[in-house]
Amino acid sequence: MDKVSQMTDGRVKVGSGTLYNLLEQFLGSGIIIQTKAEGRRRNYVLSEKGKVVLRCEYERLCTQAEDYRKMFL
Amino acid sequence: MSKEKSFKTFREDFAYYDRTGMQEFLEQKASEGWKLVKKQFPAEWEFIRVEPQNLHYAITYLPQISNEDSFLLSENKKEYLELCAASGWQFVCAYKNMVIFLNEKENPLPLETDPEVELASIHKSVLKHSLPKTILAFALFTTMFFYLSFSDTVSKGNEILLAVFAVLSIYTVMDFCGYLRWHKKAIAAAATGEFSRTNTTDKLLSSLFAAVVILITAVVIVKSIVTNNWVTLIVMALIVVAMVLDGFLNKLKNKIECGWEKNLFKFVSVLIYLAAIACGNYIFDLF
Repeated sequence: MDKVSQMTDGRVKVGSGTLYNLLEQFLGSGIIIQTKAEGRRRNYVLSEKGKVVLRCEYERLCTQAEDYRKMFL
Repeated sequence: MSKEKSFKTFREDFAYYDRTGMQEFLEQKASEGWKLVKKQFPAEWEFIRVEPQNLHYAITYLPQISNEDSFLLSENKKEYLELCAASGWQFVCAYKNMVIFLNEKENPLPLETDPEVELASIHKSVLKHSLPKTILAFALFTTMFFYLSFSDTVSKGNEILLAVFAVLSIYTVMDFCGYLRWHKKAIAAAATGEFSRTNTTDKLLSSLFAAVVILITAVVIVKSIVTNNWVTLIVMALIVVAMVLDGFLNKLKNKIECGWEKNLFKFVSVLIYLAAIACGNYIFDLF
């Protein structure tokens, strides 16, 4: 949670309840995969499907930013 | 300080999804020196006397659990509680699939930071836990309404019971429509990153309907006493007994983890109400 805040210069803050629900949701839809569980610590990585979803979202945002540049800059 | 003075149960009714209303109520109680220990029946909150303090409460919904025991026994519980504790949120209790946390920090990071994710959890919880009860209550009340409408019991001066069941049927529908209205508004608010508060008019409407039901019941009791209509009083007593038994079964049901045993308890609850209706009918026929 702290890392998310650091990575985004404090712009994005994720509460523990939201993080837990998102992990459950991402696991359920196959966006992430659990790699190992050491005690209560669990590690997850992006699945191939997750990488595609992330890439699509990045491209969608880039297109929107490009539209903004064309119209207003 | 004696135990009786240390613990106190307050009754305060909220819509199942009214997490902002419940949080404000709990924070108000903390400022008055009452810290939540347990949430019991739908409207009962057990507190312990503490020094007045500014506590922050958060209520989150986990559709995958069904009560406090199932939450405490769940596989990911420890991991989840540790995650919450990392930002200062301490587990207080769970009720149905609602989990209550408190935080003593001055400005804590909220437990839920994404209204869309939170709304999805609330909606799943409502569909899983509240909707079946609403359907069951509506079916019971409308069955009673139509049964009384087409039986000769009306001619025995119990038309007021018709009004009770009509009001209860309308109330259950309006209560659920209130949720749907709020959900629609909450989806729009969540798209802009806001969590929509529960509409206060819904709470007012619920209170109004509750007042009407109490008033009609009081009129039935007074009228029955004045006219020596003990049959109606006996039937009403039967309904109260059924409600008490149902409450007792609910308490037992909350201690059970196994799915089919829970369904058995639900089935027995319905049987109790049907038995009360059948007994009432038998008594009406006798007199």
